[in-house]
Amino acid sequence: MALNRGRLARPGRLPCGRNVDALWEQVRSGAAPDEHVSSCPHCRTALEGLRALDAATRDLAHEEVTAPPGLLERIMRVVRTEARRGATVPLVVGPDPAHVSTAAVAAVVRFAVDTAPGGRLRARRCRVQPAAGTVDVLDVTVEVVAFGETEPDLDGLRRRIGSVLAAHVGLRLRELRLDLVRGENP
Amino acid sequence: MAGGGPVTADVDDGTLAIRAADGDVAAFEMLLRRYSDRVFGLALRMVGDRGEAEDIAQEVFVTAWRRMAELADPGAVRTWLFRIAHRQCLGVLRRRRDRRTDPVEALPETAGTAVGVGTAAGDPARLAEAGAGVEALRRALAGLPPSQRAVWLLAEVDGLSYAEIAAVVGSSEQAVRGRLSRARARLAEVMRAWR
Repeated sequence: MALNRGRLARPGRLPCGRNVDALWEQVRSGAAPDEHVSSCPHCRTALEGLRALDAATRDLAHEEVTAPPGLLERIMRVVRTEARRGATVPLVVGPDPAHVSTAAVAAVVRFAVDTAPGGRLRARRCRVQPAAGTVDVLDVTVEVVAFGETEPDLDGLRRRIGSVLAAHVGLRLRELRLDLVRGENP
Repeated sequence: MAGGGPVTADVDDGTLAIRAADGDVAAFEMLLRRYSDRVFGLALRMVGDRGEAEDIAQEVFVTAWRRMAELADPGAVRTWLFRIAHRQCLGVLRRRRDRRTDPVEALPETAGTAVGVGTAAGDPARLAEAGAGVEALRRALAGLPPSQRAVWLLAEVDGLSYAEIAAVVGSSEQAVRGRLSRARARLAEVMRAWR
């Protein structure tokens, strides 16, 4: 019971007054024990346990634990099923109408932002809405984080989003709102 | 491209969490790949059973997907995942305790998949000794109250700060320090006796 509460004058302290957590820090940092510690029987007893714990802790922390591969697949199946139930925008009307999900359109918008020249922009929130009374025209709002010092080329980004949407989904933009946010870490 | 746009590997956690909250499946999958091993590892070391750890990890990520929009600070998604995992683990352990009247003796199969644990790769004697130390530590951990075990694992295995652990377990930093200190004293005592 050398380290346990029963025999301690104060919690976390050895009978000699030394703090167990401070001893642990010494062991963790690999520092040599000071004069008191190397001659004090309480400290030496405590050190034995702490050193054994330190070695086993390092081994435990270095073990590689890998999630079973089937687990990721099961989780993604649930996620994809739930994502498919989202909202859609009309792509083609008439006898053979077609819809595309707003989540898919948002993904294309994000792709256009992320791959813009310079590589310093990241899309975050993205809202996609069909313009009322139209078929293949959209209003898009996207939050863009800019990392780094240089001023982003927003006009270029607008053109880029428009052309990527037209090329990949066949949709035109009516309104595009860009909310620019400054990123902290690069 | 319909399922979600390509997401590059260097996208930060906060951006991924915001996109996932928006319904971006690819962003969520990136977060899942980034943190599934650590969430599964924490669950495995908490409950000591691979099957139960797998169930916990699945519940954690499905819950995260459904509730991502409630995450106040998207940059702290890692801590948030640990918080959900911690709650799930305590729930599993509580139900297990209620089911059984006899105490659990030792935790089975908590070992990770890797055997080469860093030290002395070419020295079987030292490797065996190191492995025995880990096994002793596992048994010692199993003997701790779950709340102490969680704090100890989050600090020593996952390397979380006191502030992060406090956020995960929902108590004050001071309480975390106290729990960690008691866990360490108890573990050191068992490890000394084992040696």
